[in-house]
Amino acid sequence: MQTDLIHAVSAIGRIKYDPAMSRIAKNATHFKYNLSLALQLIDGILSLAVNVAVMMRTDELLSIFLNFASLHFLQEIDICGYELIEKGFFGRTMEIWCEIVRQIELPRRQSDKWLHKITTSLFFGTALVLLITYGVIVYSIYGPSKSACVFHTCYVDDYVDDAVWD
Amino acid sequence: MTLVEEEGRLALDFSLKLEQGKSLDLEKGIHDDNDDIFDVMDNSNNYKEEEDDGGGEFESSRINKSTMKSTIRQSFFYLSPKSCVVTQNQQEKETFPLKNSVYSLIIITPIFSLAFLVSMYWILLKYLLFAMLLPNTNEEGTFKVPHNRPLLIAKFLLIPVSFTYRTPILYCIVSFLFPSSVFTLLSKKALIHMYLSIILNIG
Repeated sequence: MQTDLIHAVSAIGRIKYDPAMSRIAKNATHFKYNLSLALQLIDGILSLAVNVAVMMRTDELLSIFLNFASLHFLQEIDICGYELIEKGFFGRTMEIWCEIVRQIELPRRQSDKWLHKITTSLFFGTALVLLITYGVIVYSIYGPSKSACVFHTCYVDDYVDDAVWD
Repeated sequence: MTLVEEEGRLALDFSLKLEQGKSLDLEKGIHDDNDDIFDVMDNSNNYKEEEDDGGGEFESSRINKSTMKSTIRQSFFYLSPKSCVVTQNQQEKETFPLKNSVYSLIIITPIFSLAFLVSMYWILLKYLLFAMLLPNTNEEGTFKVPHNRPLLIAKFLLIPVSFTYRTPILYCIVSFLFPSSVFTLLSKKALIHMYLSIILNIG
């Protein structure tokens, strides 16, 4: 689902910009390569944030799965856009640009060893952050003290005495 | 040639170089393991042979079984994980294709061109939709969570779903492509394990 996030992190960790790219596409500068990665990373993080937030606020089991499916559609909007371009709906010139994209290959990153670790650490780091968030939420509900609620508005259900909150 | 074999061959072609010693050990290990299975089957065949005294018919079935054995051996070899050592030279040659997406288009197109603008349109559209959606998730408090244990468990289980849910489905599809000889020759116990694995993956 998080293809953009996964691809961006993987590309940062494994692939490096190659100036030889400009032989095929003159405008493929290093700045634009980095811009593309940054945009993709932001997109992925936004997508993940929305996904988790929607999942956490949903209070019906079936709705969680339905929301997952709906968000999947939203996350693939740019892929739909690219397919339209690729199939020539935006003109022949743009179709040729897509053909050029297919021809370009980038080399593996060799020297920066710490960047290799980013791929692994960001993957497990993201999963860890999400699990910690989940843990904090569960603690705020089932924790020993009701004041443990860390968020600005807490849900109060029928079983909790309202007087405790007053 | 079955799809599994073809896939294995492609994987072998793609993998840069097997470390000679380690791979040989590994293969030996696999063959040893397989031989155990085949030894058991051979014993059972011998037992049958003693009972039946089949003669000529048995000879032909034996040849067929030996061909099947070699097919299974090949399948196990292609499916088995292989240790490989990639040399520096090979790493330098290794390349990754640019992803087919609007993000790649903005790399190669000039800034003042229709292609760049259209690509940016799709990216910004996505950003806008997420930006519109995010405040709605915060309408009644950041994380409004009721006292509902199954719901909390479902949420916990769904956290890593987005990273991992594709692989099991792929495994199930591949398992249906196993040669039929696998199912006929494997022992009952191994078959149960295999079916259980497939069912669990479908689940």
